[in-house]
Amino acid sequence: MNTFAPETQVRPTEPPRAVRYLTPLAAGIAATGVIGLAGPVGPLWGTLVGLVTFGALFWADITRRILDAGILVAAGIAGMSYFDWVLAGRSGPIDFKLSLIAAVGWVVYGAGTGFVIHRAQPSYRRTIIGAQAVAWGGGATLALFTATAMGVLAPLNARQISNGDIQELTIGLFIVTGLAAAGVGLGANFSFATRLPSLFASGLVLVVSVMAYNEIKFSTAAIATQLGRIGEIADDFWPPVWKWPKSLGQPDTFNIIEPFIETLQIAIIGAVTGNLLALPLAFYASRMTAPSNVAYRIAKGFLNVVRTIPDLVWGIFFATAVGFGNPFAGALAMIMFSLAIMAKLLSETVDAIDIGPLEAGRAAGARHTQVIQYGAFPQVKPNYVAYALYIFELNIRASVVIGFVGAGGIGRLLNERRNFFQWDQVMAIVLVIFVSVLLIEWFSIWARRKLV
Amino acid sequence: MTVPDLTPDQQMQQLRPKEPLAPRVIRWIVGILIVIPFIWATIGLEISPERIWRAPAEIWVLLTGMFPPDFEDSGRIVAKLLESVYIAWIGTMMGAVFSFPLGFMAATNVAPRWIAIPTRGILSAIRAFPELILAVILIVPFGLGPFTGALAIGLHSIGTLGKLSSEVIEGVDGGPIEAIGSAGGTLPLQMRYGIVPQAMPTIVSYWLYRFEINIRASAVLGLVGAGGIGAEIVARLSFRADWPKAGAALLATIAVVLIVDAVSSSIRRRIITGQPSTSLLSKGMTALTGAGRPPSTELEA
Repeated sequence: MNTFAPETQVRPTEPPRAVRYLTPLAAGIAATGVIGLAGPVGPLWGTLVGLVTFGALFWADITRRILDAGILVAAGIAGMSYFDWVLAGRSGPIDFKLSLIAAVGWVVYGAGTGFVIHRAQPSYRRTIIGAQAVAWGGGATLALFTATAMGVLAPLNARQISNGDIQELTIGLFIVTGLAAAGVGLGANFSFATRLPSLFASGLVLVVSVMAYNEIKFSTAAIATQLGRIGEIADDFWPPVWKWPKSLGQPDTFNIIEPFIETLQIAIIGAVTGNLLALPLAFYASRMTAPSNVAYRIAKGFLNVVRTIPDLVWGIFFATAVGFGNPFAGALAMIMFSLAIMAKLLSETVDAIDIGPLEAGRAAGARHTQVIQYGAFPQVKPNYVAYALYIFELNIRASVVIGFVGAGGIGRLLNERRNFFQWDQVMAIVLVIFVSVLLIEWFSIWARRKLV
Repeated sequence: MTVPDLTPDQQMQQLRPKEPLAPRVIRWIVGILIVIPFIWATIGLEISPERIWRAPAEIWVLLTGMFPPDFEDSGRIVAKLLESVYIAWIGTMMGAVFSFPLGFMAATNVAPRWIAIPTRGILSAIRAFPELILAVILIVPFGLGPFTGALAIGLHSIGTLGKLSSEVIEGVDGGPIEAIGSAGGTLPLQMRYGIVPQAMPTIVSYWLYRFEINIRASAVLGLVGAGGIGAEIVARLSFRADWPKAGAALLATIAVVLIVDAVSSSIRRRIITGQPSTSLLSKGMTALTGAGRPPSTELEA
């Protein structure tokens, strides 16, 4: 007789109780934010939000039935229509009372999600229905009211919202809250392992995202409109023009090749010199091979500062120092750029080498440089070669743009054509850059595979 | 058996075989392939010894001009730096959200080849455009401002993060996926329980790492009018020659980058090793979030 009960064996451990409640709640709150802010644009969003909620529940392994998705979508459309109807019937700014009335639709919807969760996973008790209802209703009220209080909805009355005058605004907020939903959902999933810190982190992610979104005036509507007139924009850029007069009154010539060679030369000088200079520095910047603690600290600190400064800032710096438009400035900037990356990568590799050869060298009476030359360097040589190729690739990419700050190369030409609004010529230059970067990447991958 | 009648020198030669020819030839070829382009580049850029000799003095002039820095309008610098951080944040968020599904689509152990190969192509095509060039193109439809910068950084991040995530996903242990599949788990379940738990820590640490890179990138986007601190530095260094103020902006940028790096790398270490680092910052964060308690392994009663 088979006493084996497969049901109990399929999932031997359940997630902690806190997570069982938090995950659907978090999904609910996140989706409520979406509805509360994007709600008034109609039942389309209801469908979408229902599906999103189902996705979140599915992902958290709370439900996986088609019928559940149907219930959520139906509840979404019903709630959304109510929301729309309430707001469309009013005029005047949205106050707290109106937010509350409108949110009633979402109390019902929240109860619906709670029902679905309870139905799919009996380990969630019936209280989940109430918890979800409160979460959705409260979330919708707060979302609407906060948006008004923050001033985003202030100058508009409810009818205008419903008419889609602020569609731009609501769709934009939809994306923010979508990002927030991703953050919260992720946090809820992580809480399986780490609980509190991840909730804290997702809260932080949410707050910073909303702030950043407002601050940089992110606009999905702008993206949508510009995607709509992509044909017009493409007309400016396409077809690329390969030849233009070098100066006024001269015949059309192909002018890209000269700065392109300059870029290549800058990259070569930067990569070769930077890699060579990084070699001793890397051994100083590793505890394994540093001659003294002081030398280690100095090398490490120097590298940290050099690495902090972006390549283009190095470009501006050297261009100011040695003269604008001078490729020498670009080469200097690329040297600093390569030096910092190579020394960091190599010193980390040196940290992990086998100490045996070093000790053997010291025991045999070798000087410090000899220990490094014969004990340490042979161990990291393959890595050094691979990194050198990688850095050459990075140098090509970086030296392309370094000309923007007056450090020579193809970037200078691109900047010049851009300032004349010659977009079709810009396109030609961009295509050259695109192809060369791709070629260098393929070559680098191929060569590294051959070497390592 | 007779001992061969050899002098010690000859014996050494016998014991040590001659180095084969091929590696030596390759070494020479590689050496020439490095030296000749280097000389060609030096001549092409007209870098003379005299030019190099003069450079340190010129750099010293600039350095002494920039320091001590002038923090007079630090309010403006802080605002611009914050803008840079916001641009990097939104860019990283865009990258993370869109690259996550793309990473699965580009991984050959999840997606069929006819999806994975084109997705990879798209990702590497996106990656081939540097942020600055994307920004130059995007300024045409979206105008000057931080929004354009965020879009440029976001697009580039999708390319890089998508590639890195797909590599992580391809590197996971196939055992759990197979186990779930043989227990009747569907593809989404295999992804959720077979791949995500293995890949997520590394992917999240890549997101953080990308944020560090994006901070640097957004610091220079101002050059083309895409918001952030870059425009301040350029304007003060090159156009107005207001070097002490440029020094202040530069120092502030370095400080912000260092702080973000420190925070991000301590979080990354926490994610990858599961252990809080011993740094003061990490201890502070541990106290704040209540982490660091040993995970409760006992079953719920």
